[in-house]
Amino acid sequence: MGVFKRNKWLRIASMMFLLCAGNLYAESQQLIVNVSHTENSLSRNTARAIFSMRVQHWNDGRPIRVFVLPDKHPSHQVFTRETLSLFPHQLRRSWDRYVYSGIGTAPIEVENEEEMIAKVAATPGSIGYTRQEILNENIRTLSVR
Amino acid sequence: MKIFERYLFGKLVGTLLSGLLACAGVYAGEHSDLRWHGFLSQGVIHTDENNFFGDSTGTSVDFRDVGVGFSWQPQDRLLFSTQALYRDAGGTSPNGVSVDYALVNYSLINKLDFGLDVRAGRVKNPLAFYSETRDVAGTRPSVILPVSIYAPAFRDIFHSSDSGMLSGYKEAGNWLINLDLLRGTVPFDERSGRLLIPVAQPGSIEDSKLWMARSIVEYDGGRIRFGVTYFKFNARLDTVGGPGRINPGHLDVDTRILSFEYNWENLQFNSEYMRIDSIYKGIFVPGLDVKRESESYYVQLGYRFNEKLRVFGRYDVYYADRNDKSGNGQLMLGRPKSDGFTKDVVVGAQYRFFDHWMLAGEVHHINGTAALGVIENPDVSKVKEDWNLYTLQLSYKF
Repeated sequence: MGVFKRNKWLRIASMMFLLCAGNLYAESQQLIVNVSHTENSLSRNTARAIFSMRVQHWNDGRPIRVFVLPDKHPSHQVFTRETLSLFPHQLRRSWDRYVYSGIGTAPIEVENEEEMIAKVAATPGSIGYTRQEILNENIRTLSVR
Repeated sequence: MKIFERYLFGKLVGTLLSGLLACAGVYAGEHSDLRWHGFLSQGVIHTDENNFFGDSTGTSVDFRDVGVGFSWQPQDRLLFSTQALYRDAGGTSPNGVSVDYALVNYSLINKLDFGLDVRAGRVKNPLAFYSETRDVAGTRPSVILPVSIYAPAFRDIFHSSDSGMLSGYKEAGNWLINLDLLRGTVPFDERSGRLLIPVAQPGSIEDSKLWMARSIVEYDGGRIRFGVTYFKFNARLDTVGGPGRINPGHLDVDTRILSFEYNWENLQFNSEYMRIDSIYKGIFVPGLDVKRESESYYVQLGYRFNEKLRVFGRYDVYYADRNDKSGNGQLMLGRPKSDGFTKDVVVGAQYRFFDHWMLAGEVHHINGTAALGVIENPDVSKVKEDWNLYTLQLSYKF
């Protein structure tokens, strides 16, 4: 009987933990832009067009500066899969075609999330993503529709 | 006049390139809109019969690519870019350094749902799915691209051109429609010209003209892709004719390619189909038009275990003449019947590591010898219809 009870509580505890963890996971992946950006949200198709490097200008004509983490970085993989609904290799293919046929450029790669936040904060017209909490007044978060 | 035009174009490309290099020297390091890129690969090939990319029956390492290039964006709608390429593919391609592309791209319209670019210079031709990055081993789905669509001999003629281009896209809901239009000339040199005129015979290729159109339609961020390529090429062969030789005449080539890709979770299915209709006007027999229709296709299934490891299998078929699939016509050219076709069953794997590296290997079981270079297999008695090819390749790109 005692064993059953302990198991039950363990199950409830682990379920709650999983739920919380799931929420944290989903909410913590944030699309971030430099404070100079005025809109509050972006459609998924627009986010795809920007991160695949097809579109290089915001609607008001200003150039977009795209920052990404390395392909193997967990945040990059989560962002690509969950926010863009793409595989990292699909983005890579698009960049490769632009770079190696000379008709465009790849995004600027940063080492880690600290650098991502610093670069987006310092670069007007920039966009990036992070799972970290943002305590930087030069950065705004965008929701993806 | 034509010679003068070609000379002028060559000058233009050369000037553009040296100007870019000079700019690169000045701006490198301090200007963030100047970006370098490069790639290299080294492969090993062994075949049990026939030579492919060098003396492969004795294991060949004549299989390497090195490329380096940069792009410079002096203002946000204007892009200059160039890439120098060193290739070694045994006897099938010229060794040495060439200007792979040197172009200027201007973005006329670049909205979220609609864009239009205009481009000029030496460009990579928009042909099927993989043509533009075919020399970058790290971007290929296999060590050797399907010969049905990307035959090595084909590469030197239709891979890049001196052209003007329009390139656009339109997004509508979950659909993205891309369109590329090209008009230009093929930069034949002493070596690539030999693909049309035999080594032993003096001659040149004049007045080459190329028109190309490609549309790739993508659904849901590229989950499904469908492509159509059409191109037309014509040229005049300037030779001194005679029995057993290539006579002076015109060559007209019409090509259609259909491309399809479907991605489902970690599975990827690809297939491409190509048909080339060539008319040799007076080239084989003075005053007579000889028409040849080639037909080729491949189907490929890939599975990705994760972002590092991918395996694939492919069936790749090419017929030099779709009305003569057993290759009887090859005997008239003094070549074995097996030069008329290739049926290649391939399995392979790719492993990516340290961000920029890839190790890839594959095994081919091949029936037919159409994919072989005649230059590397001059002795008809040594050409075998059934053969196996094993290859391993290490590549790096940045």
